[in-house]
Amino acid sequence: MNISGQYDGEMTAPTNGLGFLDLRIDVDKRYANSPVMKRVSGDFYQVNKINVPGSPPKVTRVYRESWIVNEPKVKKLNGKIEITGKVTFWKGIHPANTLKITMAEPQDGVTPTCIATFTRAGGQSAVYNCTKKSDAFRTLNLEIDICKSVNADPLLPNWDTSAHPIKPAALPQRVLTIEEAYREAGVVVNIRQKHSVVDDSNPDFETWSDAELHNAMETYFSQIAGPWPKWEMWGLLAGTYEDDSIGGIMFDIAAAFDGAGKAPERQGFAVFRKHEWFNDLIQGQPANDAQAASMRQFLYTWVHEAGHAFNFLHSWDKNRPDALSWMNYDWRYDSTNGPDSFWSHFEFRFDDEELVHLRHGNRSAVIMGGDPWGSGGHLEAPPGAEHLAAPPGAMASVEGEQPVELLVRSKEFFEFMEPVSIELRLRNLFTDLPVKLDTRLSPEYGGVVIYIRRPDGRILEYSPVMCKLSPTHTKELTPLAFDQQPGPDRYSEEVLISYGRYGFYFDVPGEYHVRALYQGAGDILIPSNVHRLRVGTPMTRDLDLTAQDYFSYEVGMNIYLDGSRSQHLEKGFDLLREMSEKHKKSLLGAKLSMTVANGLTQPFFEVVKKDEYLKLSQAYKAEPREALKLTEAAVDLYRKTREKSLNLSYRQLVSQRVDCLVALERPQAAVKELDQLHKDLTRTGANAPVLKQISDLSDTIGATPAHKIEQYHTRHRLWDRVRTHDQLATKKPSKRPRKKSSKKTSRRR
Amino acid sequence: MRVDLQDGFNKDHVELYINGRKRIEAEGVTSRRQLGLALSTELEVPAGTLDVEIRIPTQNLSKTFSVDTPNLGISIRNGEIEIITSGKRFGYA
Repeated sequence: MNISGQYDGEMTAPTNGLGFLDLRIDVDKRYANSPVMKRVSGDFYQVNKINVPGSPPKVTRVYRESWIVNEPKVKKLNGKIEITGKVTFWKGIHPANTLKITMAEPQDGVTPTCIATFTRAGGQSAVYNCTKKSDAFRTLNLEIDICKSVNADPLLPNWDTSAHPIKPAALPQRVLTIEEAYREAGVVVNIRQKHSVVDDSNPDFETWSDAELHNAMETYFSQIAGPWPKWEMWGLLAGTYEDDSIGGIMFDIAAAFDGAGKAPERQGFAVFRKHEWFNDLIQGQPANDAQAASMRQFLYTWVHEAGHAFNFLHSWDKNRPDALSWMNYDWRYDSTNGPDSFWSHFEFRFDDEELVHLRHGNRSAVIMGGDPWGSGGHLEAPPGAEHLAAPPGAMASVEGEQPVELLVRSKEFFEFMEPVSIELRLRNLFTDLPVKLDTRLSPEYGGVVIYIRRPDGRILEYSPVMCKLSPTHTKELTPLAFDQQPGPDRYSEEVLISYGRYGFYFDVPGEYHVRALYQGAGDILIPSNVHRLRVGTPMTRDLDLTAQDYFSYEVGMNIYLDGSRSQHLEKGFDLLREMSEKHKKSLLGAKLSMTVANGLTQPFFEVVKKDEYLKLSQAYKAEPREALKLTEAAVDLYRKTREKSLNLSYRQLVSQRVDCLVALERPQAAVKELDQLHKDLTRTGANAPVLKQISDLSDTIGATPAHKIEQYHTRHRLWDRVRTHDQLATKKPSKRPRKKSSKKTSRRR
Repeated sequence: MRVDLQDGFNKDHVELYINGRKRIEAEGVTSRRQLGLALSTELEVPAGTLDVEIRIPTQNLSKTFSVDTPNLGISIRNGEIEIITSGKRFGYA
């Protein structure tokens, strides 16, 4: 029995059950006609366990990162096997790591197990106990749908390697199918039993375009919904492509590569049965060379197109024009090596570099819906495409039921230069089990990582300018009974992601995708949905010209700091003030006015040198009147826009204005604004607890005696006080009768 | 004759002359990487050997050659024009 194959198992040290390892050992022959690549690789997962009283814990796994060991050393002694090597992570910076795998020599009838120990420089070790799962390295589900016009046997290839006289002399005779070709390569392909029939009988329809193929995939692919990436692929057997020289195509490539799709990519491909390659295709044994060549080409096309979806380029695009691979073209090879030389030498396999990618490549570079096609930071990546590969964590995906939802949302369209904020919302998905979570959702605290996919396909990790240290802010998200209003089961914060340590993130018009990863205090890992937003193009030449000054350090820091009167950022503050006035009828102006007004709401102190000492001195007094004036148009705009996705911003704006009104000892005007906010948010469907907070605050300010009003005039913004109020409110016993919880813990979608 | 503009084109201006007569003039020719093909077109040509000139001014490239096969593939590789000829039509996948 062989060692090689896929193993998996849980961490046993340093923390039992905290991690999970998907391990691929490729050191000896595992399958007929399958070369050994002398690699060990794996994927690390974090295990989230929520203890449920009286029931087994709820467990989910979240993918973290992948690594590889090249040329591991294998020692066999006294029935024991030891595999060692240096671990290289595909992404990120890691301390030097070594891997030692120990196992008993495999015996027939006994499932092999192994202990994998990762030791970091410095001596700390992580240990996993793994069990062999398969003699392949990965598993893929392939769904194949068939167009009505070509729904006749053979639907799928079945090729006897001895059926055509032009073949390598020593080619082992065997029957190859899609499944068998990939099994030899190291991937178990499960073709789903059900094939939908796509009705292409409309008399006006002749040929397929990329857009129509992509649309068909979105309509017919049963696995298209839900989070990607995943090991699911769709193939369509279709009639004819719009260019009839094309026998198959992996059409799911983003527009940057002239494809029809949007991210996620590499989910689907098509094979065109009416291509002249397949004119002689018959079911059963071929009666002549033309029929055999046709079946051979049919197999080649299916395997080749699926290969593109595994993120393979053509051989010549990888500087291997003479590769004898599924990813080369026969006529291209023949053009330099002589007629029929490809099929005379091709052994029906991928080349070694491709096998390493397929079996051991970085998970996000291989898995469907992961890195964009033609990228991946691997041997398979073309020169210059490395920047398109995703940073670690961006491709995190959940296996199993998720106990908590992390939702990223915002309005879908942002004007050019409009500061981009997103709402991050945590929600308990259980119906009778509370979940305690750290609610510091700003990336500054390190508990949330945000990834931004830019219009050019690059995925960047958002890096805040500042890092903050504080005790955890734990909040219990209580389960929501079916008859309860949403509120105590969730927690939201608005996070500004326009500007960070490396500058502006949304500085070009186009489509962006934003995803977040919640890691809280480090004991849980929850990936969010992928949120799509669009940044518009500048509507006037004047605005376009302003961009030159706007995308600067001074403006970026003002946006990040929510308005600063620092002398070092004065230029940025003045520009924002000018722009907020000029564009006051747009959301761009409204948001900028909030930033500037915030800088005016509070006094600003700066450090000055006096004699030999540094002393804090008030550089600017608070200018609440000016702040109110600046934001008048913004209030009007929010009221008129009535968009639910702006609720948080609107609430922030009113909070800011209430701060100013309180500072000016005009509590009744503050109450009036809060009441108007309550009315407007009721209209846009805000949740009851949010509305209650607003009305409670209105009542509190209205009832506060005038001589005590100054207590509100602190350096804290009302927004923070809303949160304080929120915390106080949750301490009060609920007036609503609680529904008895059932014993069974269930999950709500 | 079928003429396929294959690999290495990137928003290029392409002119193709057969026996001194301009037969193809195309702007913005770009190869689709997942196929290795930018443009495929069928031309009516006289029988026999043909004198072909391909000009790609956007990359400052040109090449003159003779062809006597019904299929002509043109690529740009390492800054040079490459020609593939065949009796059989090129297929792409």
